[in-house]
Amino acid sequence: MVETALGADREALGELLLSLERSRRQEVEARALAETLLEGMRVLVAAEHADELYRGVLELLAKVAPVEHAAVLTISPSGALRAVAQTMDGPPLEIAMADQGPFGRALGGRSAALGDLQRVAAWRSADGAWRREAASALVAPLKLVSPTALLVGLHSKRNALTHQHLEAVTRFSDFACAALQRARQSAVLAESIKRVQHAATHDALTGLANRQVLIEQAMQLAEECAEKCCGFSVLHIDLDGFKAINDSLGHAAGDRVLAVVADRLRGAVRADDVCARYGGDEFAILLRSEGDKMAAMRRAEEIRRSISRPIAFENNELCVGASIGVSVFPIDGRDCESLIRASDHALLEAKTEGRNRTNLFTDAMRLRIGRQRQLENGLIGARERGELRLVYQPIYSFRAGGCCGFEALIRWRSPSLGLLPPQEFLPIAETMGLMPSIGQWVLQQACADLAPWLRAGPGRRVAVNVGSAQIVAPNFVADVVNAARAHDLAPSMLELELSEETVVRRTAEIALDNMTELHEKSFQVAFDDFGAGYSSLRHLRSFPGQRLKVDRAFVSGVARSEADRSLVQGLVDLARSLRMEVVAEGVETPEQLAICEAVGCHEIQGFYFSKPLAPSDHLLRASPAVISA
Amino acid sequence: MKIAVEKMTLAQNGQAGPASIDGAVNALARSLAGAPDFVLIQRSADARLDPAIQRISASFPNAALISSTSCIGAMTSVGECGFDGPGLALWGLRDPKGAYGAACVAFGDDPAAATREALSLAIERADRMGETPNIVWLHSTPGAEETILRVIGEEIGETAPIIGGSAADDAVSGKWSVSDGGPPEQAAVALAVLFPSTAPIAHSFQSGYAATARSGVVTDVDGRLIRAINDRPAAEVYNEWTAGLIDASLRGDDANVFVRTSLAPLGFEVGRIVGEGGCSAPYYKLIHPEAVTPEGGLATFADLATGDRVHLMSGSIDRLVARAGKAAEEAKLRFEVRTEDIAGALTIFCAGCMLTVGDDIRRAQQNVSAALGGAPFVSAFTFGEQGCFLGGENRHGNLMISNLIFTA
Repeated sequence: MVETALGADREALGELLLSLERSRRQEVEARALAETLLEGMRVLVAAEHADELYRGVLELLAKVAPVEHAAVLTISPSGALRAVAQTMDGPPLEIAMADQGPFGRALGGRSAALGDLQRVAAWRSADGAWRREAASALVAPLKLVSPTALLVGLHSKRNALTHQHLEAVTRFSDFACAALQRARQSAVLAESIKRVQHAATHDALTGLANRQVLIEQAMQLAEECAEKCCGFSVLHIDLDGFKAINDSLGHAAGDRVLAVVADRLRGAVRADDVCARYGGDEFAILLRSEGDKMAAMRRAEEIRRSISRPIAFENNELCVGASIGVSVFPIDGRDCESLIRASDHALLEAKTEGRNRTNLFTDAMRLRIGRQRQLENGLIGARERGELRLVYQPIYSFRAGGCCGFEALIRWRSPSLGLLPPQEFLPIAETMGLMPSIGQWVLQQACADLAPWLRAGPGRRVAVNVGSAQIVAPNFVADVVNAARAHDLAPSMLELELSEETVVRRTAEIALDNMTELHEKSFQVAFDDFGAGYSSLRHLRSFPGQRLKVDRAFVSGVARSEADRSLVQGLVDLARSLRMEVVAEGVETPEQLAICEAVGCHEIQGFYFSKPLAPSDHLLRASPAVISA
Repeated sequence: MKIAVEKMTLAQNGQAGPASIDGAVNALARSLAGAPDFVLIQRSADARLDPAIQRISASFPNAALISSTSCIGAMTSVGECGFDGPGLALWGLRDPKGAYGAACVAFGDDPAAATREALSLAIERADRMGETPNIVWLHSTPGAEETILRVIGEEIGETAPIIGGSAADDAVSGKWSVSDGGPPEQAAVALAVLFPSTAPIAHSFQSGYAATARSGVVTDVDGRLIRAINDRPAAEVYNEWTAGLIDASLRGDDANVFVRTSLAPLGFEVGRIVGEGGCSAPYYKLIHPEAVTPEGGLATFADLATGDRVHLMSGSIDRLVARAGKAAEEAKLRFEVRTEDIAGALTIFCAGCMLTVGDDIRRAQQNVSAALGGAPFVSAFTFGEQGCFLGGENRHGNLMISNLIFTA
């Protein structure tokens, strides 16, 4: 009885210890799992690429199972399992796939402990490192990875790797899977980023680098060359005749031309040169090691000739030419911006000089650029600083026998450049977007300066030139009306002169609408410099003005050239037929005056009659008759 | 994975009629919704049941099948069989995604070679050459269990759990047999290799005994025959320890001590459970004395070696009855198996224990059934049990309870 009771106590103690032992083992397992987890997390966080991760996974595998070697296998294009990572030296492990074998089942999600690996048929026909040395193995699928990969642990002794190890590996493989998945996602992301970066830095149609890349490379190259005291060249290329192809044969043809030209450019440059699509039909090339102008010129000419070869397109041969501007570091500029600008200037010159040619950037161009830069800088704030002023050239009327008006002419007295005529600074002001404000100032100032004179007698007017940017401004008509009203001038006292060039621009319709509206409000409208540009009769017909001003180029020749005289006569006849009056500009001699009168011009202006007068000139306050020849 | 159990008892005329066999076979297939992949038959040691084994095997030609005789009969989740006349319990497992192979090889004069052959054959039949099975289910006839375990360990490693029980008969008279569907063998090893598709598989190997303070060193032994303990005749020492439990046998009246010693076996320490602070308790392999030899030796069901310290163990009917359920609970706890996930189980209960507890065996089976949540199971009553101790070592012992729990 005592023995039985004692036995019961011992059993109870045993139970207790058994329970403790169970808890201890489970705790040990949990701790091991947690450590594996932490290690897994470390791999998860640290590895960026699949290769790196595979190595980490294999290292970790050795910590959870007594493997001597390990490998990660995936299905190769040939259908066999092939190691993408392995710890053993030598050729990658490769195992022919058999769906029914342990490796095939593992791919299907079933892990296996292979205690006697050399009896596994698939292993016996395997290839690669450790094929013969391995005697036992663990095979665990990396299930979450797509396509499934296999984690294989190897040992040189039979039965060295057991189901207990497999259990640990299986748990670990879940983390390995997560890590691999992340790495693959990273790889996909990296690939996407690469694609996006490529798309951001390359032109989709031609595959060439884009403008941004070219600029960055040019900047880098400029720094390198400055350090090494060597040079490089920038070629700026513009296709000649491309627009015609695009317009007539469509974008497919245009795209084909661009793609072929890009190929030819690639073929014409060296591997370390940079070839870029600069935009539209413009390309640019950085020629490394071409710091010599003549060498750069020769390379540019070769490239130009290669571009000019015919291009096959749908049974046709397309032909484009190329204009090329060349600048060279450091002669033409020591930084990217000035080099590219220089090549651009050279290109513009090539275009201007007849296209299909190569121009080097020259000192003359540099001077022009310098002058232009000065003008640009000076023009900013010139009006506010009071550097702009108006002079007034009298207009003589044959019928009235005296001055019937003045044309307001703008001048810029730059503190650094001196007095500048409008043709030198107005085009620059236009490119700088200053014309609307300058034009408005001219309008206001002319009205202010001449209001007393205009109001002093009938039939008087002041003519103001209107630029193309100004005339299409939304408030242009209102500005004109307000200017006249502000100085108590009748609309007929204000004449707006519109150049032929303004009328043929894309915005001509708006310009004509505004002019028509002003004409209807009784403002006078003149067609300026007729004959110097397109001399479009269509535009002349739709023009709402009442006066045609014959360009001084014709007038200057009337005394010595019968042709010029006939031309002026023709223009006068034309104007008359359109019920317009004719003003001859640039009359400087008595002969010219006489002829202009003889052919029927209504009015003249020019130095013969009077040079332009300053606003302070007393003549502006004289009667029309006083201002006479 | 699905598991089902059927049972069958010999008809009044002592024949296992085809109708009743087919009835059990069909019922099993119906419960499994298809043919089983692994079939285990626990049967009474009655030769009239032999044709039934071959008929069942023919009914499930693709299944791995093992049959073993069990003392008296078997207990199942659907009731006992064999206790009211010879019968058999039919346990089937359907798991098409798993792999199962079984083989039975006669010992001949080399149980080790037979074991090697049986193992190789079973793995080959499972079509898993080179792979380590998750579990080896073992039934051999008594006598060479230690050798069998050693050979299996050599072949597939020490860590694959080997669970099973030695074939038994009703009176230790050598009428036991094992089979893989072929003619029953009376000296053979039958085993099955299991590669189930589901995990985990839980198992435990326990006894319902505690060591007493009495122990001695084996000083003369021949395999399973202990001649001397502490240099004295083993039976004499044992009789002293048990206060005359086998007096009659020492007097020569009855050599068989099988039933009498069931609550007082010998134990050999095979490991220790270590608690916090160095507190520890040993766990034992039990050695069940079977008979007293004329020379005063003790014949047992397990091998010992000279120098082994044996302890007198103490058990009680209540503890044995309770232990059956506790062992199943222990397996669940150890492998973190939820009761609702259990697909079915196999349990091995020492025949000596079963005979000792008598009718209380039904209480033991109720405990098992409760621990398994009513899942289908079969219990065999064996002359030696094999299982995997807590430390992972596979052992053959006596008076043990071994079980294997499958999850769905």
